Order: sequence, then structure tokens, then C-alpha cells
Amino acid sequence: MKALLLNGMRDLNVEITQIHDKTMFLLRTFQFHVNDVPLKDRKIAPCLGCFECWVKTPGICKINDYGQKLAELMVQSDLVIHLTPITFGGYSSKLKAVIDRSIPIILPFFRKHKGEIHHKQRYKNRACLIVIGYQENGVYHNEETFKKLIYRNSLNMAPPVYHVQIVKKGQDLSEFHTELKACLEEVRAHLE
Amino acid sequence: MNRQKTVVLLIGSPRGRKSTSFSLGNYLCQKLEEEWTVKYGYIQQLVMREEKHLELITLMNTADIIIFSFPLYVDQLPSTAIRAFEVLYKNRTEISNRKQKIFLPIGNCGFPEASQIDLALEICHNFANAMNFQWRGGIKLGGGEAIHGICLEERGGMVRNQIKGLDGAAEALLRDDAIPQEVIDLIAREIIPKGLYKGMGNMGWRIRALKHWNMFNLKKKPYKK
Repeated sequence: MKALLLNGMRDLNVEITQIHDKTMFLLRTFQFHVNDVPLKDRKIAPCLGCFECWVKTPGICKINDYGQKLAELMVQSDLVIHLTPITFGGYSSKLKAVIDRSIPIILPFFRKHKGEIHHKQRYKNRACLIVIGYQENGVYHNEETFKKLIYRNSLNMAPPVYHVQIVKKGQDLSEFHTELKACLEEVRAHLE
Repeated sequence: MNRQKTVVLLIGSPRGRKSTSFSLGNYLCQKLEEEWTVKYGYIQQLVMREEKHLELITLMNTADIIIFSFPLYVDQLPSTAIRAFEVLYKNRTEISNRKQKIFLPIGNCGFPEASQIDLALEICHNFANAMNFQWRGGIKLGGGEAIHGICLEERGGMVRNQIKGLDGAAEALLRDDAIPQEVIDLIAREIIPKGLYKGMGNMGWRIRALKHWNMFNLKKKPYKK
């Protein structure tokens, strides 16, 4: 089983690092082969909005940097984990750059899903998705926005299993550990 | 008569002046320009290099009204727009009179339903609250590919509701009011009926691919396991 862990932390944060380390420990316990990608060390260009990955080089982004490689790793993985500081209710810009660059893995064509128009999937087998948001402060309803965002992502990316976990600043990580373990058990059951 | 104000139009699309974000924001700003000063900023240029961040902050300092026009990328703002929010929040103490500044986002998306932008507007609202900016509502437009970066007047009758709505939004801003809900709803009306948009969109991608001799290759799976 292959997992891709995308760590969207921009500046060094002790608590996010602890969450990351616990996640890595659990993934290894579950015998995942993990591609651990700290995005703060990577220069990934933003999406240009050119749509050439749909019409000129179908399935491949024309920007030849690590963002292109990550789109491939997303397809090759059984599980993708997004770890991010919750940023006004969304992902950090570092992680969002990777997500924006992943549109080659969907098709330009439209489908109707739950009464809305969405894009069709390029690949039949898709990775499960676990999103871990780190909440620095509880103001401005960021948490609720974040949960809605992940739900909407699940409509577009159509992962067979998806979970969202929020860890608040200063929170005891034992609860997070238990929850993540349960998520990984569900993912493993799906993959077996 | 309002005192002379400065409006800053921030374009959140990497396509800059060729984008639907520009078409929408520029139409609204042309109406405001009759009474106020308008300045333009392109997010992609202002956040990619750190030495440009000061320019972004300086631009914000001149603004009474910030109009932030952006495309929807994977359910929310493009990464560069989020980077701009991060930079502005980190440097918020460098921006004066924040409580007096009005923040008005305009989101557009390639899906026919404008409601798909609601979440991105919620993120903008969270940002405006964190910055202590005044919130006067968020504008959303679905079916943005029907505009495709062309100026609204050239699109004519197809976007009559959106033109009428943006005129209403300009009037509200000039009166120093919030954007009325009926104006927001008018702009959010479907440009092309959903079923037709889906069919035309699917056909449109094939036509665009034809230029690259790729019409029948669009479903390629280069990364298949």
C-alpha cells in the first residue's frame, strides 16, 4: 500500500511537526510505503490556468517541476494525506499550489453529481483521502469552513474513502492518534 | 457626492487581463471610475517574489475599497490568492485604517452554478474578518467560460443580467451601502441553462483540443498504475 503525505506547513511549527511525526508513525504501523513530502522545502509553481493539461498534453501539466511529479504520485498512491495549517478556512498556499496543479488527473468533461455539474474522473482507481487541519485559533468559524471545503473536494475528487480531522492548538494528540488509527483501519479495509 | 476615494482592483487570476476575473472587475471599476480613482494589481505578479510584497502592502494602504476578482480553482481561491491573504495578514499592522477599508470579492467559476463559489466567498469573508476589513457582501458568477475574458459589453445580451447586476453593485458602492441581495442574485443567474452549458462545454473542450490534433486523445491516462 502506497501513501503520499503532503505537508503544507510553510513556517516551522512544533505542533504540526508532532502531528506529522505521529501520522508517519501510524502509516508505518499500518505498513504503508510512504512518500513524505514537506512542501516548505519545495518550489512548486502555481497553476497557470491554461488548461493545456486537458487539451494539449492530456493528463500532464506543462510545467516541468516537482508539481508535475506530485500529480503522478497522487495517481500512483492508494492514500493521499493533506496536512495543513487551516488558513482562513482553507489550505495553506503551499498545499493549495499542489492541489491546483493536480487538475490533470481529472477530465475536462462534465458530469452531473448530486444535482451539480462536476468534472469526470480520468482514472478509475482513485486514492483515499485524509485531510488533517491544524487550527491555530478558534476565531472566524474557520473550522466549519474547512470541513465544508473537504466535503466539496470529495465531490470533485471522488475519493472512495475520505476523512477530515481537525487538531486545535495545544490539543492533546492522543485523541488525534485514536481517530487517525480508526481512519487508517477503514482505508485498509477498503484496500484489501 | 462622495469624497474622492481610491478603489484597488486585485486580479486573482494568473491569466491577468485576459481573464474573466478582469472582465468582471474592470466592468465594475469603470462604473466607479466616473467618480473615484481606480488602481489595478495583479496577484500573480505581486506575490511570487518576496520583493514585490511591499508593493502589495503599499497598494493596500492607498485603498478605500478593495475589489478582489478571482476564478474558482478546485473549490476555492487559486494558491497565489491564498498566498496574498497570508502575506497581507502577516503584515496587517503595516496597513493603516483597516477598519475603514471595504473588501468586496467577485468570484467566477467554470461550472454553471454560481453556488459552487459560496465556499470561496466564505474564505474571503473569514479573511476580511481577520483583517478587520468591512464586508459588504460577495459577488459570484457561474458559467464564466461563456465570458472567457472578453469584455462584458461585447458579450451583449447573454450577460444582460450580470451587466445590470454590476451596475447595481456600483450604485450601492457609490452610495456607501452594502451590495443588495437582489443584485447578488441577479449576477448569479445562469448565463446559459445548465443542460445546454454541459453539452456545449463538453463539445468546447474537443474543439479546443482539435487545434492541437488531440480531439480523440483527451481521455489519455499517462500515469495509469
